[in-house]
Order: sequence, then structure tokens, then C-alpha cells
Amino acid sequence: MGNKQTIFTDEQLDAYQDCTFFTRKEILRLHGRFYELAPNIVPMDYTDDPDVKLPIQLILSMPELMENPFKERIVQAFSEDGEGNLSFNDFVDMFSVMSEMAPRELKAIYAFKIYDFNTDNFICKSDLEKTLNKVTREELEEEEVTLVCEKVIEEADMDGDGKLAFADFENMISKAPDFLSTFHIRI
Amino acid sequence: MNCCNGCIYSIKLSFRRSKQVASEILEALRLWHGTLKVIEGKFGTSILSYFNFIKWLLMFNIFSFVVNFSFITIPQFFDMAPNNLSFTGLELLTGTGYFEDTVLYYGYYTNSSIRKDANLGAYDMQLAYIFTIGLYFATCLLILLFSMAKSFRNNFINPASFSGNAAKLLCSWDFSINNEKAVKLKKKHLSTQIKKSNLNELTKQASTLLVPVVVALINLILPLVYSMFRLVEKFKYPQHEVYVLIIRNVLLKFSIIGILCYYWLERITVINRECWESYIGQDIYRLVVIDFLFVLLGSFFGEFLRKIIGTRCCKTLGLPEFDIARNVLDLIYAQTLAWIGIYFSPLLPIIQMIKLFIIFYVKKVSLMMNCIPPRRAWRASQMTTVFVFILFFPSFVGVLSVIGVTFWRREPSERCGPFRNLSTPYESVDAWISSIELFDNTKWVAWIYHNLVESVLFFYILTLIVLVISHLYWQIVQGRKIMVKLLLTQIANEGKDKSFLLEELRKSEKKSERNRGAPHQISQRQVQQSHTSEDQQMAHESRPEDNSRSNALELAMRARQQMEESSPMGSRRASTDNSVPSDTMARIMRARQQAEHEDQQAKYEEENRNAMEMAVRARQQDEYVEEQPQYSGEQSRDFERQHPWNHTGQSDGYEAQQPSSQARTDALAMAMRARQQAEGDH
Repeated sequence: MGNKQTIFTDEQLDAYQDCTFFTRKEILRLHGRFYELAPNIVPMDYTDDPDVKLPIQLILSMPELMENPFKERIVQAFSEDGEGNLSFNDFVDMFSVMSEMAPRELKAIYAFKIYDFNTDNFICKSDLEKTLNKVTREELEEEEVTLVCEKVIEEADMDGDGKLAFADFENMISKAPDFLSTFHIRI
Repeated sequence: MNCCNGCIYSIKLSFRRSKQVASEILEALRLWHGTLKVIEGKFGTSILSYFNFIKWLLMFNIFSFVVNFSFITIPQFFDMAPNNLSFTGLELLTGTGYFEDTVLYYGYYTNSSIRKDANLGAYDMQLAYIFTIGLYFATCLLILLFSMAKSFRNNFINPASFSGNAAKLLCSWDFSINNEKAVKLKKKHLSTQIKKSNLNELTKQASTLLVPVVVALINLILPLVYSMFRLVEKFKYPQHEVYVLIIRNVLLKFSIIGILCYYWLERITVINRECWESYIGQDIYRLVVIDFLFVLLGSFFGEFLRKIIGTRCCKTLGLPEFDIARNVLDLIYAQTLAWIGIYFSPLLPIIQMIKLFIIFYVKKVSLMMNCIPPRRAWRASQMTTVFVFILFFPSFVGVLSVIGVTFWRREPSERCGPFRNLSTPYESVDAWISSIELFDNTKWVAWIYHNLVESVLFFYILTLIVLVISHLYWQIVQGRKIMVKLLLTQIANEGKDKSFLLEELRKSEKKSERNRGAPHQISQRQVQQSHTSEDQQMAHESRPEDNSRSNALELAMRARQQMEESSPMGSRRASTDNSVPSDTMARIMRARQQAEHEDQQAKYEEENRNAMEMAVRARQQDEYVEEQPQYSGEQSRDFERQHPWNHTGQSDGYEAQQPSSQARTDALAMAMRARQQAEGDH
């Protein structure tokens, strides 16, 4: 594609385009960003699908994520091994889901994963408390935190099991129009 | 067949490729991508919505400029009259003088047909003027309608559920923010919001500038006064405050425009100036330009000086907030003026384009240097809907009516413009149609005109049809609302079912634990006795027909518990500790013996209940029997018990994810199993 060096073959680029919400140019730009993070680990040439994973610390140093209180959870939610190590595919996947083209359903799935700190497939009270502390500078009183979490569960829990399953979460998201625009990272 | 599939596949593929190419081109055209990213990263989505609005308006103006320039101005260049007026510079501000005789204003355009080459057809300026502007407004109308409808659909589906803690906590974090200060501020806002919700639920020429300057001054000062009202007024909800502020500003701006329009259409047209359309065009030009200058001044004084005062002199004031509502309404006001002006000055969109372009950068710099994001609650997507709505009504609808009055009711000036010597601009269409009627191959156009466009009956029927369709849709919407209500109650009921099941499970779990826990055999037996009688009572009480379902559920829960307890434990024990005599089979045997004994005593009971009670008792007996040899190894047993319960927890979790119908079939299956087991015991 007019580059000095081939990074991806045409087939690879087509495949990326089919599987993500990005254009060829954006894929190449993402590769650039990925390469920048660790120039000595990430190869410039991706035509033979090298199995390279970047550790979570490197990913978190990106300015897009650095200040985000949920940064670890975001990276973990998208890493295949669950530890936060990202291959280039995971990396592209992450920004694809967070892009503005991604549909609400897809975003909801990953938002649920992000808020589910203990990965038990439920957003339970401890998850909510963690979320609350992360978004409020941890300056709320303990009772306030408990009260808010109880209210949240009471409000969103449709089946009365005291925790939020994915269906509850999705239902709540569907009523929050701001979610689509706020669950979004511009790359 | 294969060939056909391959063919379809390759067509699909090439279609997708071309779509991708198109999206790549669009991406290259995306304006201000990087700038918007920076703004979003620093201030979040709410401020971004203002800049997106500017971008959107800019697109409107670019479109109208391209259309007007190519269909009205370029043809006019072939029929240029020399311009003898001098250019001094002040004209840029007043729009008079030199500009009067240029393509900028209505008055310059010719009313004749332009014919460059005798072989080519003539270009009728009147029709070009009408159709270009008409089509532009029609396009704007469609775009506005569609974006408004889309926005409403996405954001006002269920307004009742907006003020929720849940949504506040889980959906309000702006993932796009990547600036440290903004993150801190956002955190602070959220915590105060949550806390609050917990607590309460010069020359002659220059004199023409007088009107626009006064208007712009009013526009600048009154909104500031309005925003100061909030120091006096106390609203219970921050949203109300925002809405009241918007309503006041809208009333102010549109009453100003209304008065101006009245003055233009009722006074100016009567005075019979030489070229009143151009005069109005100049008026609007001045208003647009002066408004632009005041916007610049406003961001200089309102934001820059305010910041200096806030940081140097009076520290309690702090940094100024970026007032999105006021800024967006300024944009809407300017756009309304520009739309009205299109008829009187076809090239006004280019002024508006430049204006918006500069405003974008000025506001960006001012925002970055001086401001902090607004403190009050700001729901970006909902507000955008409100703004698009205001842009449609009163703004766009008002513009259409002003243009409509000019077009159908006002007599154009005699000496200038494309419609000179006509009694109304609309007459040119009439004349065109009658000229077309002479040709056979264009008769259908005339027919359409006479029978559809001019016909009252046609519009009457059309209105009827539209009303019927909208009524139908209204009914459909109502029906869906009822459906949604029903589904919601269904969800609530399923939830109740589930919590009932869990409650039962917990009860029986407690019971079995109490049974196990007691160290003395005698007391153990007593407890067990009392439990048995309790169980019997329960069985009797829940016996009535209407409660048959809960019976089944109870049974199911117990049976399941029994299964889970006995099977993994039994097998494990068999593999690890062979010396223990009570292996599962033996326990079941003993349980059955006991059950048979009980059965004889309770002959009068019905078959069904027998089975159930037996199941219950069998289990208890079973557990009791198991208790004796294991008595010494209590702790190790407890540890073992952990395992099946962990398992239960997980499977429960799994169930919760299943649709509700699944849960019901699960319960049925469990009941079946329970009955089978009970019958087997019997």
C-alpha cells in the first residue's frame, strides 16, 4: 500500500477490516501505536502472524488509557489469557469495541466484563463498591457507599437475586442513552 | 450451484470492498478529527456535543453554499454588469456600498434568461433561483426531520428511567476522557452528585450598524443576566434549571428575530424602496457579521477576562464554566439569520461558513485556556435532541414561513432582482408552466402542476392520508407500550419465582445443617422428630390446589439438594475412605426401610403426598444414619461439604443467565426427578 515496508498482506488487512470497525488506514495506524509501545518486541512485519504479546503495564502507559480508572479492567477484559497481556489482535479488538461504530449490544457485553471485577459473571455488591470508589476519588463514607450500592441493585435487579446478571445490565444500558457516547475511546 | 454461490459471494465481497473504499474516503474528509479528540479527552462528551453541533451546522452551510454558488452565482457570472462602486473596507462590516452591486445580494441577479451560445438552451434565472432555494430548504427539512426523529428515538424512549442511581454509577463514566485534571473533576462531580441524591432524593454608513449592534448587545447581555438568575432561583432538580434557561433564551432570541421579520416584511416592503430585497439582505448581513463579532467579544470578556478575574482578583469565583446551552443557542440564532438571508442574499452561506469555522477555533482555544467543564448535570445526548428540535422549531419552521410570505404575498421590487416586474415571485412559476404547455412532450409537467400542486383537493386528501397513517402509527406505539408493560410484569413475576425457589433452597439447607450440627444423639433425634412434624405440617398447609405449584417446587428443591449432597459425597468417600460402612447404597436401603415403616403408619394419606413426605424423611433419616459413623470426623466432613455447595452456587449462577422459560423447565425437570426418586423409594 505504498509503504516502504509491508506490515500486513492485503488478505490480512481485509480480514481485519471484516472483523473490526476500522478501515485499512486505521489498522495500520493502530499497528503503529502498538509498535511504538515496545519497538524491540513488536516486529514491523506482521505478515507471518507473529505471536507477540505485550504485558499490561505497557498497554496502560498509553495516554488514551493512562487516566482511566478502569484501565486494568479494560485491558483484562480484552486479553485472551485474562491476565492483561495483549496480542495485536486483542489490541485491535479492544479499540474496535470502544470505537463509536460499535453497536450497543457489543459494548454492553464488554462493559459488563469491565465492571465485573471478580469475574463471576455477575455484578455483585462488591463489584459496585469497587466501581463507586474508582469513579468518586474514594471520598464517600462507607455507609454512603453501601447505601448507593444497595439502591443500584434494588433499581436494576429485575429478578430479585441481589446481584446484576448480564440481562439486568443490558436492560439498564438500554435506558441510558448516554452510554453509547461515553463508552468510547477515540484512538 | 457452487458457481452461483461463488458468484454471489464475489459480488458481496466487491460490494463490501467498495463500501470500505467509500468509508476510507469519508474518513479522509472527516474534519477536525484530531481536534475533537483532544477536546473530548479533556472535557468529555458534553462539551464535545457543542463542537459537533458547530460541525453539523457547517456542513449545512457548505452544502447551501455549493448549491447556491453553482446554480445561481456561476450562471450570473456570464451576465455580469460592471461595478463602479468603490471599496473602502467598512463595507465588510456594513455590507452596503461596494457589495450592493455584487452577486452577494438578490438585487444584482438578472430576471432574463442567460444564453451564452445560440445552440444551447437558455438558462432561466427566475426558475433557477426558485428551484435552487426551494430544493435547498426541502433538503434541510428532510435532514432536520430525520435527525430529529432519530435522536428522539434513541434518547427519549423511556424518559421515566432517566434519573437512576444505577445508570448514574454504571453508565456515566466517560471512557473517552484522558486528561488528568478532567478525570479528577469528573470524579468530584460524581461524588457530589451521589451525595446530593442521597440527601434529598461613526458616518452615515456606520449609523446603519445601530440596529445590529443593539440586537447583538441584547443577545449578549440578557442571557448573562438569565444565567445569573440561578443565584436567586432555587430549583429542586438541576435539569429544570437548564430547561428554564433554555426556554428563556429561546424566547428572547426568537422574539428578536420575530420583530425584525415583522419590520422587514410589513414596513420595508410598503415603503417601496428601490430594491428592498437587497436592503433586507444587507440588514441580515450586518446582523450576521455583528453577531459574529459579539460572539468573539463574548468569549473574550465572558471567558478570558472572567478567568483573569477568577484567578487573580477574586479567587472565590474560580474558573468560568463553559456554558453549553448559551453557546448552542447563539449558534442556532446565527443559523436562523443565515437561513432567512439565503433568499435575499444567496451567498450569505459563505459568510456563515467562515464564521463557524473561526468560531470553532476561537471557542476551542478559549475552552482550553480558560474554562472548566460545566458543573451542573449535563446529559449530552438528551440535550442534543433538544437543540436539534429547537433548530427545527421555531427556527427552521419560522424561516420557512418568512420565506413563504415573501414568495407568495410580497411584491418584488420593480427595478432589481430576478423577479422584477412580477406581482409576486411565485408568478414566474405560473408563467413557466404556461410556456411549457405549448409542447406536447412536457404536458405531463403542466398536468401535475394544475392537478396536484395547485389543487386544494389534492392537498386535502394528502393531509388526510398523512393523518390516517400517523394515527395508525400512534396506535401501534400505544400497543407496544402495553406490551412492554406486560413484559415488565412478566419479568417481575419470574423474579419472584426465582427468589421463592432460592428461599426454599435456603430453608432446607438450614434444616439439614441443624440436623447435622447437634452432637447428642438424643437431642438430635428430638430435633429431627420436630422437623418431621413440621415438614408434615408444611405439606398439609401447602397442600391446597392453588398451591400445587409451590408444592412441586419445594419437592424439587429438596430432591435436588438430596441428590447433590449424596452423590458427590458418597462417591468421594468411597474412593478415599473405604472403612466407613455407610456408603450411598446402604444409606438408601436404610432410608427406604424407615420410609416403609412410616408409610404403614400413615396409610390414610394420598399416594402423592406419601411419596413426598417419604422423600423428605428418607433424606433426613439418611443424613442421620450417616451422622453416626462419621461423628468423630466432623471437620473433614465439613470440608467435604463445601464442595457440593460451591457447585450449587455455580449452577445457580448459570441458571440466572438463562432465559426465564428455561428456569421454568428446569424446575419442572427437578420436580420430575424428585418424584421419580420418591416413587423409587416407595
